Amino acid sequence: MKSIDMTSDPNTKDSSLELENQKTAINNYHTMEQFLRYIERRAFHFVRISVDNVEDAHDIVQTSMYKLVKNYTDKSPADWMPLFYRIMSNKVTDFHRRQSLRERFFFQVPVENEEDKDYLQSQVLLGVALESEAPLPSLERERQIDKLTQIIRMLPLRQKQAFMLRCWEGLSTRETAKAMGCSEGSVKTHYSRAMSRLQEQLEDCYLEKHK
Amino acid sequence: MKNINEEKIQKDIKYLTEKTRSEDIFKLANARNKALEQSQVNWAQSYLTWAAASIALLAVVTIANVNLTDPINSNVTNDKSETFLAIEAQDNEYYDDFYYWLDIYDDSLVAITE
Repeated sequence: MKSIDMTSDPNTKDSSLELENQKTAINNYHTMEQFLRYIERRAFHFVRISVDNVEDAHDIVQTSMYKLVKNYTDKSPADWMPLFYRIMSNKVTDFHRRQSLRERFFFQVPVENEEDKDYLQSQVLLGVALESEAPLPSLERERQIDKLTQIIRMLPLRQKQAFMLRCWEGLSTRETAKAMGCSEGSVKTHYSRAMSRLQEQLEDCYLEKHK
Repeated sequence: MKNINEEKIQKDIKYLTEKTRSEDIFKLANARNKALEQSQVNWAQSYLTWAAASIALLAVVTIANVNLTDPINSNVTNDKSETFLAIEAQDNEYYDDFYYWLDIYDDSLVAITE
């Protein structure tokens, strides 16, 4: 079992992650179309969890794709991932700024989206029906994932981004810093704070005993 | 103290992406295609822009050349210089007879002074 050890040397982890990431990039995509196919669903869930809304998530992913294709097609495929996440992170930050402005000056309270909360439920039921999956483990897993996404949502924006880029996407500290537009030191701080919070709140299924 | 099981999280993320709703997959595919089309459109647009700019430049140069030579006005000017000189010469010949007295007057004036 691979686990995040906060005491281990971050540089060793960085270099191994970077190598893994480069391998992924080389193996999975050579053209922009292949890259977008590879990243689109992950990006969608990344944004959906950040903005709590499916429609806004689609808007952000689409505009990010536009911008990436328009401005960075000529860059090396290995650079596309951090660039794409940089664009998306900026869009998510803009979205939150706009939303806080609306709340402050126009007193618009954000509406909670039930569809987004129960995102997996219908899919799990469909999967159970189509693939004859065992219903109870599937529903249990769906519940765990919903809980995980809710806890990630509660993190401050920068910590959320650091966690999702490092843990979800497996980007190195350098690439995460590039994607977030900050220094590597800031990434390490955000990430370790996010991990501490998650360690306090996550269920046992996401934790393992310290060896 | 317990560590976070990164592998479990990554597996669940994979599961989550696999369970993406079909309408969302459709929308994402649509967004991807539009983003990729945009780059092709850009080339076409840039060609169109270059073509339009070249035509406009050609038109400006042509008009400027036409204005510089200005065939209508230059003909008129040439005509003026030739025709009017001819008319003037004709007029002079015609009116010489009429103004004969001027010479007489000049002659008598000269005689008086002498």
